[in-house]
Amino acid sequence: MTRLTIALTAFLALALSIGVFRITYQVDELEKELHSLNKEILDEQETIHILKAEWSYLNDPARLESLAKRYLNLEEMKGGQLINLDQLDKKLLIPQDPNTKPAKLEQ
Amino acid sequence: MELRGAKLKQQRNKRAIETGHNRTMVAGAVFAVLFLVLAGRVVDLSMFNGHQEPRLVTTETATEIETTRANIVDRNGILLATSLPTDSLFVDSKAFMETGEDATMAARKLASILPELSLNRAAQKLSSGKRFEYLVRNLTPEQKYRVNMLGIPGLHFQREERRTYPQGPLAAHVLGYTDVDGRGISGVEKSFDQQLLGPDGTLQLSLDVRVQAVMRSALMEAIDEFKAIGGAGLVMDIETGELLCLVSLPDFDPNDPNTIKGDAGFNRASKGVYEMGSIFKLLNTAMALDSGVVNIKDKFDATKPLKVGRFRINDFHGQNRVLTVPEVLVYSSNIGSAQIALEAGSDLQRDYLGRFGLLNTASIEIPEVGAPLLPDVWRKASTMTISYGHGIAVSPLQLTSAIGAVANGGILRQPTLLKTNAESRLPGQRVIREDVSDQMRKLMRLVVLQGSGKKANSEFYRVGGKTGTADKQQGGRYNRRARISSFAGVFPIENPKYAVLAMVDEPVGNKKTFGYATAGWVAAPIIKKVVDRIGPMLGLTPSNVEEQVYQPGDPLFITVKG
Repeated sequence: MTRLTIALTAFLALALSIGVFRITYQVDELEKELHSLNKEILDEQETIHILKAEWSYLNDPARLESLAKRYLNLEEMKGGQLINLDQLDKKLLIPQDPNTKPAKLEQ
Repeated sequence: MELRGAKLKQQRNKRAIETGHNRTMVAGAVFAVLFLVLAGRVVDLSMFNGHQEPRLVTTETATEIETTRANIVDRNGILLATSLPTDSLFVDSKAFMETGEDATMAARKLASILPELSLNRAAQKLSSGKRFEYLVRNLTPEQKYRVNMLGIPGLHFQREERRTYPQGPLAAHVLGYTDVDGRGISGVEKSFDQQLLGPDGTLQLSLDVRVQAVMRSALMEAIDEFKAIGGAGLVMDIETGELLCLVSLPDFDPNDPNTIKGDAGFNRASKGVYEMGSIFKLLNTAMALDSGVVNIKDKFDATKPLKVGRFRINDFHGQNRVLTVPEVLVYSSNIGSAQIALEAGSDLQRDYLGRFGLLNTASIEIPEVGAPLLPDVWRKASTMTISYGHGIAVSPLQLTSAIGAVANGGILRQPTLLKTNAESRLPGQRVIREDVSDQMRKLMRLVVLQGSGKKANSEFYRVGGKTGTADKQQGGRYNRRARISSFAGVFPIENPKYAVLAMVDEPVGNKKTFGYATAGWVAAPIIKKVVDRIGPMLGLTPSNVEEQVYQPGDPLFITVKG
């Protein structure tokens, strides 16, 4: 009985200490990983921050305008291209003559 | 003997066993207590958080990078100013010299990457023996990479932060700039310095970069065309007071402090005060109609110049006849306006100008604000000239909000550069009655349809407003060659949403304009350009209600000469 207890205790002590050591090392490992991941996140965030600034720089309206003029076959949007929903039928049913301008007030 | 000996032995054994037993018990009890303590500690740690043990999860996470100065964004969240990490190159000369490299060679290699580095000074610094000496500050990432690729020993980088304005000069006068240490020096960078340095201090402005860009390019074109020395442009939401754009030209690139010189650093839109000319006739008419001193049907004799002391008040677009109140405005009659002002009197005029916010310095979130210039003594002559915008100098910013108040139902809104919401908005102040504002809108529209503002008439969004051309005062006298041409108006006139103002400083007439550099030729076309383009951007549906044509007999009917 005594022997069995001693053997069991010794075994438990050994097993537990091995377990504790393993866990300690695992935690160390994980901590390192966490640290490097955090550093990576920071780096990525910094990159995103810089890219956002660059995005804003590239989206400078004046630059976009000159690029659009050079490479796109598009024109500036005109007020006439916008209509209300309640005007939809009127405008669409009567095709507008592109040559006529909206009536001006007579002086 | 034998027996006694055995008994004694037995007794001894018994005692020994008892002692052992007791000792085991004591030891066991001690260990039990210790284990209990351990167990208690475990429970404490796992369930009650222990003592101030740091929690790994929170100590190590990094959610946001640390920048010392927060971003500034426009109303749609587009980045206007941000702080970017940069690297500065410095040399540890001792370490460099220990390797025995040639300083001149190293300096030559560096200079091929960094053009701002002078060869001699670089070689000097490399061989100075000092442990720390800056070579070049704020390198681009590419330069940093190439310097690293050189593999010169003793070179190190120091992380720094640099304020960057991705949009360049676009909103320069609003944003302002910072010094090398990142402290705001002008614009919102200065007025919101504390907020920007605090945590989560992102600043959202009311500006819309698209509107800002449209106004800026339209103004620039006009300045080029008329060889002007500068200009200013504003668009304000007249229901909230938010400024969608505030442009002052010439401007500067806040990324490059060398461009901030002289006139470029002067904010014409809010700091400059100018005699704005006939735009004041709108305020004059609004005052007269609101106070009831003049009726819309009243007529004024504009056949001959008015004489006040040694002044003579003349009409630029002389009609030489009796004009109705709408005609005084449409034909921009100085004579008529002065007569209207005389009917009202100086006190009433001052009272109304004060209500329009033109007698005090405008309140706006940048330090560059100009105080209006008012006559020292408000004489009869002052009253007469102020009626058509001479003898009083106000900033274009003030005038924009005043014109907004004329058209938006009569409520003056304080202009703001910050995006507001319904809660943070300040209530406006009533300046004129709603029905007078209705009438003023019709009059403003007439000016654009039949008066001097014809060139401001957008095909899609109806504009109403007034031109103003004023000679500049130089050394106490008016210079007929140097003038301010401006247009202030609102659109769409049937339900005004925005007030716009464009001002061009010292335009010179050209062939295309038959030598004229008046507001109708210079400033009005800017308004048309701007309105045409920003209308769709701001999601306004084009005006589609039939416009009212006034018949003879209607007080709003304008008699055309000839």
